[in-house]
Amino acid sequence: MDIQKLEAYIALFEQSTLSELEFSSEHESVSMKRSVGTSLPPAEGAESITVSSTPSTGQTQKQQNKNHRIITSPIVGTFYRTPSPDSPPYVEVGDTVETGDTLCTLEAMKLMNQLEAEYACEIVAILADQGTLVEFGQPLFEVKPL
Amino acid sequence: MIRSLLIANRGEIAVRIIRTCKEMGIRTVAVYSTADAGSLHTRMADQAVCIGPAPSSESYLHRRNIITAACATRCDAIHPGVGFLSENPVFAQEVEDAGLIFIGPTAQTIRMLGDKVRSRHTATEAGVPVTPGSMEAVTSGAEATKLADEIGYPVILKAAAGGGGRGMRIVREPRDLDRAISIASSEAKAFFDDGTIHLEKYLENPRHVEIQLLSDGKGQVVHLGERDCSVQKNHQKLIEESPSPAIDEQMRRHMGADSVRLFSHIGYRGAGTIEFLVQDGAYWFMEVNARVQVEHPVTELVCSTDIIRQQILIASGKSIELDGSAAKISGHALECRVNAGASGTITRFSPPLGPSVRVDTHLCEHAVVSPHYDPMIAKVITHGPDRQRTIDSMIRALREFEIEGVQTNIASQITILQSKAFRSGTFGTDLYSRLFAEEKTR
Repeated sequence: MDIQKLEAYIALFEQSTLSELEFSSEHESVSMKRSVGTSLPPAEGAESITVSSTPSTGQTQKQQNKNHRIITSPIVGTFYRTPSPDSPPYVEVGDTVETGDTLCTLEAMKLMNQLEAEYACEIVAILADQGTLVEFGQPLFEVKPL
Repeated sequence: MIRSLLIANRGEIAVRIIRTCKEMGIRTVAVYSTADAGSLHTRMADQAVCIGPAPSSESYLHRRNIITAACATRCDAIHPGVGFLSENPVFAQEVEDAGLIFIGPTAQTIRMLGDKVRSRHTATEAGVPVTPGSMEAVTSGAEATKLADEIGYPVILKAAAGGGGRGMRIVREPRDLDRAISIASSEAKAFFDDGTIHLEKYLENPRHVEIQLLSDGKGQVVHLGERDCSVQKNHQKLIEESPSPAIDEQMRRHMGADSVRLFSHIGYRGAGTIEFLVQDGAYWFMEVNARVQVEHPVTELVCSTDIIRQQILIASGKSIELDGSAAKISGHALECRVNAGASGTITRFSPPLGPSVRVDTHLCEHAVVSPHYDPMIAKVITHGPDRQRTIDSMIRALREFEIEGVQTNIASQITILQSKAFRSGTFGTDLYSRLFAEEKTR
């Protein structure tokens, strides 16, 4: 996709009243979402550590769709979908990730905790908003294990 | 002034703190573990954040989750309540480092008072009597034997980092001393990661009397009289009262003055309690509890003050709402801790009402007494013109308390209140074991 086309899409989205926009064609897919939170994504070069998404039982809950699972937050933190303000998100709906791939950043006391996938899966939905506080156990992603 | 406050605790004390905040117009944020979802404190607060699973090590003791929740919900301050992180100097420091106000003394003060050996030194410097014993750490050998001989048996070995009855060992015979020191030291190492122990005179049947203080850290120190906490079962307090029937006006004045002097000496900030042992007309410093205490309501009633409110005012840099260095005491107050014998779901819950009665609880019908936390169901507090009338009110209140679904200690609390020894006011910390040993042999 060329940059001018993308700029046009963004301008269109900004003028609209839509809160979310997703479309895809043979060659490209675009997803835009208005941030509900006010915080900015974490700055680049911040200290990073990895957290496990399933430290205890009950973390991966069964979803209505039997094949889907919910990945919940293992800590209290601020949810970021991107590694830095200008970077693209770690994952988008429809992406498939491998074990160990980063799903999001959870900032807690200036520590950037990277949440990694514990198993290969497809991202079905992103359930938390950029820059907002997530609680322990709060659903972050709906996924389909592969 | 503090406008938003996170309460880093659960149960009745969290509810207690939220109530005062509501009266002061302060926004509250509760934290809870998954086991406490839907608990009263989460419903009463303006906002609630889940901070972890049921085990407290992963929730109510999870410093980073708590501080992150406070920052993300734009709180100005954290109130640690009692237990959990309330006397953890690392937490106090981290809260301040995060730009928040910690409602309590400074990390430095907490650290100093948490070390029994150092706090004995500090008390001595301030001219407060301490029990005869070592002023330094003891190790096996001639030195300890000589000291124990000097002060006389029995002696007690205590972990410098200990508290709440843990890490203590009583030695009655000189021949047991060496072995006891090595055991106590390794126990202290295992429990508290610090093998330092000290030795002091063991009092067989003392009264446990503590002085409540409020100190603004800028020069004003007020003592709010004493609480007598001599009714204990395995070092766990069951009934507390103020004033103490065991001390007279002169001793009260001396203990109060000594306590004020100690807090002035260390520049203490916040609410705190100095625990003393009292026996045969003398008293000795035991330790400082650098936080609000479970039994604070008895003092609130006899002093007509809200201690949580004073804590918040002090933390906000305001003045204590009491004049002088000693609060005026009016009437008598008694607190009974109603505890569950085991965890379970409460099927009926009807707390006492009526004149002279206050009940602090977080429970209600269908609520669960969780196996993960302390078994306290409620604190019943009565206030009357004198001790006998207050006891009568308490017996009436406890009889009125209907709880089904979990076993409680209400019957044994009534037995204590009705006993001649308790009524007389003349007893020591062995009252409980004496009363219930008699029951068995009868």
